[in-house]
Amino acid sequence: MPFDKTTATLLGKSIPQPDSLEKAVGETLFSDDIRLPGMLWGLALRSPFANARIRRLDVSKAKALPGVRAVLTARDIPGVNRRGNMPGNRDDQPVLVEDRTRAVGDPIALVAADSSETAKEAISAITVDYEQLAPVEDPLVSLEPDAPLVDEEGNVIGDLGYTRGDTEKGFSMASAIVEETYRTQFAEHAYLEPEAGVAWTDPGDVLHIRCGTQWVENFRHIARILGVSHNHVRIESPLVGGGFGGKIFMTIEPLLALLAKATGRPVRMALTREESILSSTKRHPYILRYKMGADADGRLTALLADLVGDVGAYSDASPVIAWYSIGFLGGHYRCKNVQVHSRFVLTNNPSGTAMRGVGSAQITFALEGTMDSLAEKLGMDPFEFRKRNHLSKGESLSTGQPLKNAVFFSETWEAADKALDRALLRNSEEIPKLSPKVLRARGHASNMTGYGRRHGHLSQAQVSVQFDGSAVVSVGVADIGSGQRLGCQQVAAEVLGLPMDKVTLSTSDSQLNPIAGMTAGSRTFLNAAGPVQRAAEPIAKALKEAAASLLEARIDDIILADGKAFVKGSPSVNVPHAQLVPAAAAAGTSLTQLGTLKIEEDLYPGEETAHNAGWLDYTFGGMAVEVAVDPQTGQVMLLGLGISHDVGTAVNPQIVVGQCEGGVVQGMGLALTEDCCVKRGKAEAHDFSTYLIPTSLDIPSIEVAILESGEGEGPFGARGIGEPPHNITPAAIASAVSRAIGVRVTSLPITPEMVLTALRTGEWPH
Amino acid sequence: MKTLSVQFKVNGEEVQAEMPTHITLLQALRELGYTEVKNGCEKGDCGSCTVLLDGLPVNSCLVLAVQATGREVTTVRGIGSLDNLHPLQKNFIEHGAIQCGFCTPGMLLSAKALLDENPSPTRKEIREQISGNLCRCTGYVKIVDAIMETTSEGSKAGKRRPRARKC
Repeated sequence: MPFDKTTATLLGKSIPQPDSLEKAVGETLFSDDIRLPGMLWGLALRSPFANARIRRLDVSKAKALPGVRAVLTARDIPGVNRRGNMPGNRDDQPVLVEDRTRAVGDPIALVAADSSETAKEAISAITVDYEQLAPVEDPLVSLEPDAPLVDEEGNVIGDLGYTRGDTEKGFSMASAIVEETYRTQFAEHAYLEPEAGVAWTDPGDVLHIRCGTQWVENFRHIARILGVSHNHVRIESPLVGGGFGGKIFMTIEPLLALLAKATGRPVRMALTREESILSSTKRHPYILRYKMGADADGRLTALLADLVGDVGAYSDASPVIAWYSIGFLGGHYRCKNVQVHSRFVLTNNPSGTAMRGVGSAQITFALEGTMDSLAEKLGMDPFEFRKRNHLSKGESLSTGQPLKNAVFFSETWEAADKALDRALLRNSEEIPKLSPKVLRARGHASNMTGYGRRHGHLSQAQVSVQFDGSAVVSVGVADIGSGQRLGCQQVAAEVLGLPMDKVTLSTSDSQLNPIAGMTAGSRTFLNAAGPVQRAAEPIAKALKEAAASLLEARIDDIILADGKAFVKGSPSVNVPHAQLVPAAAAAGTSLTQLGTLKIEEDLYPGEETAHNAGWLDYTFGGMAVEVAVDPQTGQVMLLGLGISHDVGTAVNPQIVVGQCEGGVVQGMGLALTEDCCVKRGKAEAHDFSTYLIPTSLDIPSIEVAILESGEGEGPFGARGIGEPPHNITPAAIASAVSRAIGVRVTSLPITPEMVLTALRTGEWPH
Repeated sequence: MKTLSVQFKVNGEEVQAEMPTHITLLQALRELGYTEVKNGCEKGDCGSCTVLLDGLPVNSCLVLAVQATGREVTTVRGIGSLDNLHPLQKNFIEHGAIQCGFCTPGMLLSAKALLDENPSPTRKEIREQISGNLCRCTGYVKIVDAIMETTSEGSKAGKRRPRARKC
């Protein structure tokens, strides 16, 4: 029975998150807030060098210290000394270094001790004799034939590409051609909660890990490391203090597991901010070369994109991100002649991983910059130029994947531009008096972001109704703050016709909950709330059948709302759920249902590129931003920003707006201030006084315009919105700054030094 | 290890403990079970560990526990509870100003300190006040909205920021 939106009671309501109450009063137990009796402190000794051979490692003095309960090295790992992380990668990352470090922060030894002081003392008592080797710092150097091998299997992780038509012919038809190279930086996720957690073994010999994660399915990797079967590892993620992609592929879980197993006692670990930034994964820096040509009418004739991604030291999630990137490189524009090539290359830098948009922020920045340059060269308005080239519903991406849902290109562009007008107007009193010398300009961008990645993901959820009519949702997905639990709760309540407080949640436990995959890729509303909807529907049907019989009406006329069933139009004559549930049970309906969402493996048979690089669907959006650049200091000030995305259906508008505002401000950091400044493989910016994320004083006036085409693959026609607002922001800011200074911005972050150099030389420095 | 006896009040309750002299107020509070005080950087950069010391906001990672002797510490649990929310807490919840929630305790206390001092600040003054409290999720907009709503001017027409707009 299709869901009838007209009788919905919770759809489109800005209901607050179920956990915000306990968060507001400080009752939430985050990863570092649990204390267990007899708990030990765990610490890791990490490599200070990006590339070094370990000649000798001596832990005997550390072991002899009173209060030290375990000192572990690679030799003590009972199972396989590999983290695994993402299925399909090279499986090249040891949990503890064997004889060679490949990155700063690689763990070499672990200590568990009675107190943090003793653990620190033990770490200092370990002696390591390093033979330092020259690190490979530049992916372009790493590509050279005689480059030192970062990994025995070779330095190139993915060499991918595809060709459509004939680009040479396409360029020969062009009346304007632009060729530009863009570069982006290492960016840190900078979740406010540093990595922390506890692990313990229960009397049934099941190892429990309570550590904030975006993916409870990591228990399989832990089991392999420990050499135990999967059922002996259980991950229970608390509410996560921010993730953004940095807590998907295990942080300290394997370290906690090894120490808890070795000591037989609960072990706690908590990273300092410095240790967190120095040892964690980052957003990949990209070097992107775009060459695009268009004819005199402003129609694209050829598109050539070449990408080199800096993988860092370990393959981690890079093989899949390489595929995602291939999918985005061709853009959302119509072009018959396309050639796309990408290489992901190992270096001794921090490992790249998923970060809000998996590569799309970097690509959108370069693609939209090149589109602006080409429009300029053609003497066309950038919007008009794009309007002639953007794909519409029913057309195919250059990967071969057809766009089956709405493409609100012009709609989002125009709505964003109007939103910017409102932002400037509303905040006029906050815009400081600008000197007449400032360079003021408006810039725009358009973007396409995938959601609902395939991988043959099978996502499941369970819904149970109780005799009093209340319900429990069980789903193995982690909540990282952006409303994952709320989405599941709101969907269940809507389908079952219950008030929100009559639906409780059990989530993020790898043994208690059906598995619904990772909280990543803007997928959770589709892949976790989707199965919840599927589980709730047969129950709702059974309740309606019971009501139809009691109220002597047709089942199609029964409405479930606010814990009652009634005939459409006559809410005063009703039957409460507490009466319907026992009736449905007596009629033989199971009160517990499993909902399954399987995204088909072969959406595009015969199209290898579309298959590997494609997403179930895409979210489209536009952004407009106005900047003021001070020509004397090079400082960029954002005066206002308008953002618009077609979210299909805004099931919870406040959550959508929150994702937009938060994504914009994070994107602003990527555009203007954030850079790990990696030198000799080490993040030189490894605290919040050097790695600068935006503060409340940096933010512009932001206006959000939500558009709803009604066409999305999530429950009630929703599209993913976690990542799109982020990945469009650097592109739009760069567009505005480029216009203000008259020089195309081709690298991030846009620092005052870069702006001043560009103003002085007329070229963007690299 | 040199220790000292420290004695201070937390949310109105007397606390007494023997502590190493180098322990920060943040470490002491978390050891004593006040885990609502969050540890985000231990360098005074992020503001997650903000508490009120005699009513004024401090980064508790930059204060030694012994410096709190004889003084009053307020954590987020001291300003409201599940069944008796402070208006700031209520407005943070209703405005969607809480996402991951890790910055929330510190953010609320910085906001409270401002409103105690100035019941009708401008948006600019609010942004200045919370500029030492980093948030990575919300983009600050809804946090400023929630604080603005709590000001004495907040409920007056015209000052309120429009809610989510659907076109």
